[in-house]
Amino acid sequence: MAVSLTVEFSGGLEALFNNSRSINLSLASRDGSDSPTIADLVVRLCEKVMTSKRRELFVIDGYHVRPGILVLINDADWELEGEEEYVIQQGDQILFASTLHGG
Amino acid sequence: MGRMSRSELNAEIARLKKRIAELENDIAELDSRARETETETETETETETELGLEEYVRYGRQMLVPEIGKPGQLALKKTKVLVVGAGGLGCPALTYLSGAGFGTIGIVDDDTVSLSNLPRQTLYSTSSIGMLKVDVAVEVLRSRNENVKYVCYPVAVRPDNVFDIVRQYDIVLDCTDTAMTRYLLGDATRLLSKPLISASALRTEAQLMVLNVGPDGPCYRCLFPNPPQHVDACSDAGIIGPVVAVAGTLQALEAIKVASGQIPTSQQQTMTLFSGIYGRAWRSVRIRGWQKTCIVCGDRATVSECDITSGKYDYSGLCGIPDGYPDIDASHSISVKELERRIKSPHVLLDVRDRTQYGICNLPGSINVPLSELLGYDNPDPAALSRIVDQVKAEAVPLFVICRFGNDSRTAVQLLRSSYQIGSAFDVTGGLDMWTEHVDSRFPRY
Repeated sequence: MAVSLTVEFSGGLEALFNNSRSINLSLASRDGSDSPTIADLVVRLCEKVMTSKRRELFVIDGYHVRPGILVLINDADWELEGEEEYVIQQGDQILFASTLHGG
Repeated sequence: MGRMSRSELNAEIARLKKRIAELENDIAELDSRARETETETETETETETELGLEEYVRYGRQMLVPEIGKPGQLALKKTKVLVVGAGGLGCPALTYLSGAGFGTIGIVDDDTVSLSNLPRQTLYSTSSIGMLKVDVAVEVLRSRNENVKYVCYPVAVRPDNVFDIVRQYDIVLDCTDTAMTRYLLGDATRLLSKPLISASALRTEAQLMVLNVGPDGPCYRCLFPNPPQHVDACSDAGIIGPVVAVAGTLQALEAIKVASGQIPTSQQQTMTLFSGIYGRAWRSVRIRGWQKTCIVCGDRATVSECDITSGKYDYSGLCGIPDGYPDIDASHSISVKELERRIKSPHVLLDVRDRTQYGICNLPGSINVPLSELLGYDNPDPAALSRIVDQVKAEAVPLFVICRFGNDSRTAVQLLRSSYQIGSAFDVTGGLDMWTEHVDSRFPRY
């Protein structure tokens, strides 16, 4: 079952995605059995959406979002929602934001 | 008086400069003595539990707001707030903290004012260039509000001094600009149980968090257990003044809220994201609370004050490790002076800065292919690179590679020599910065 969602990038991550700050996706789970999770989304972003070859600026150890990137599911820290296991719902808004350090 | 020789004139100038420095020192001593006296008198005549008549007038507008009132104003007067970093965040934060009437404001910064600070660091002026930021900041702030006690720390926060400084304050504002300092300050404030108001900004965006508050509030380390390995700084990636000022101003507001006990519980675990240009301008997002796995404040915390001060817990290699640059053989490098001579003969001059920087200023006749594209990281345009490679090989001309400071150009030269077999690729040592220094002083630095 495929769901439609909005993915946003900020804090410099947009540079990895052809400077897109917001994209709409239709996503199915990789095995087709369940609804897609954030883990499915991250793989899709790396394999199909990312235009930069510097994948290590987004994920480490395979497809795990690297330290320093906040993942927000409908304006809530993904830690509150189950992180990679969260099942994406129709119309969800997922923000990947790099933490900033300038000042 | 007879005409003096050049060396005599120079000697006289040096003597007078020395005398000026002595006199300035005397003034500084007088000032600091006067300051001590002032502070003493203040403590004797005014208690922290009452406001002077001047203060009623000064803070009246703020006290009229029911959330502050007189109790809030007295609470501010009792509060000691520490601002770490007196730059783009610190300047607006300090302006409003001082204006609001905090009792004591400590300022930590070991930096001096430079020209490139002036667009956004509004406490400083052209005449402050070269002076310590903390000195100028205190002078300006004191001229705006003498009721506040100001304390200067012209040092960088380090593992061996952070606890001694932070311990003396009630609230800390993180207005610093490096990941390492953010972790150090985050850990120290958590271990000392001091609320930390942390903000940061880059390019067109800013972020703000209030940490170490409430029963379940997280610390910096709870939120970001693992430091990032790649961090952009304002000096490289850029910053728009009002964006960072928004964040610094909000820090002052949060400090006022913390000091006067006015943080709604609903806000104790939120982060504010500000986007100055794209998408939603403001987002208030729910962040995770205290983490029992946190190495600083979790159930089995492993980092203590002693570990930090003694250096047992090491911050130096923790984060923001700069990208390594290869060493280039001296025979594969040329100086800017040599470049000046050799560009009179046929050559290709390759500038590997990003397109925005190339657009700011560039050497006539240079070709721009950003390093990220050479490395194939971002939207590589193989045609642009292969045209250069073909031209260099066909015409047997040298390829000079330049960048801003002579770091990225080394990576590029190594790549061009190893992957593209261009034996005539040369690194221009020190980059455009040295070009301005030694060849053309009219070429812009930025």
